[in-house]
Amino acid sequence: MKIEWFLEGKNTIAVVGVSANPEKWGYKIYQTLKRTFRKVYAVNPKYAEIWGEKCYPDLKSLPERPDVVVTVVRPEITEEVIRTAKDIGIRRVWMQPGSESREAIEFCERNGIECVHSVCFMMDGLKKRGDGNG
Amino acid sequence: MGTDDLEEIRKRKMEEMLKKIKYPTKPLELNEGNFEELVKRYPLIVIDFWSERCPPCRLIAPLIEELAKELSGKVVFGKLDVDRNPSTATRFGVMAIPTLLVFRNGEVVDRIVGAVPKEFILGRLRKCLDEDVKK
Repeated sequence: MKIEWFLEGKNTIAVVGVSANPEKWGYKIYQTLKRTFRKVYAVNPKYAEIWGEKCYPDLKSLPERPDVVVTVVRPEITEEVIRTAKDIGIRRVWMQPGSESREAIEFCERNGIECVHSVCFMMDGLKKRGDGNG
Repeated sequence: MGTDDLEEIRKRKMEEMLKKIKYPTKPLELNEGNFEELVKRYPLIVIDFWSERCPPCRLIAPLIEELAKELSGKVVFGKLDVDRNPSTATRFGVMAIPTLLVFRNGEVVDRIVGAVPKEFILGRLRKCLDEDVKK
């Protein structure tokens, strides 16, 4: 597995646990990834939209299957999310530090889902690359 | 002169060369001002691209301290704060942290992304050290 594959700009990303609060990581990560990747979907059942953009209640509601799911939620929610991810055929999951659990990681390993954990997005690096690519 | 003799000479020359360089036993603090000079000064230097706000970076920080001590004389370790030095991180394509970049004679020869066990880092570095001895 190469982490670089997760970071390819052509990927479609779903961020599970997007927040409307600009102070929270769920907001910062979503906004930063939007600058870098082709298409980024917000997922959180609490919101119908976030700052004017559509927010989906779960992965099954998305209009297309994302290449990568990023989790910014509590570990027990991540465990639910990856089960849905498996059901709809998602092959790559990036668990932001704090959202991972041993059970979630082992579930991914058992089910052939590539899983990144213990790594943070380099927010400035992504932002600058995104700015450069338009 | 046999192959074993040549191998012995290579090893001895490498050891002599390494003795001439003053090796630190703690990770060096790198920044955009001293980066170029330090990566060129040491034959093998590992730079830990990190941030205070990144929990996995804090997880591997003690390992880097230990490795700097244990491998002193062979490998130099350095740390670069990506929040304070974003342009260096971007220049080397660091998009996730922690990232360890291994420089040999000023060139990137290996990249380890994420908080990985100490043995994993050691294994990758041994490869670099073995290649140095063969040269």
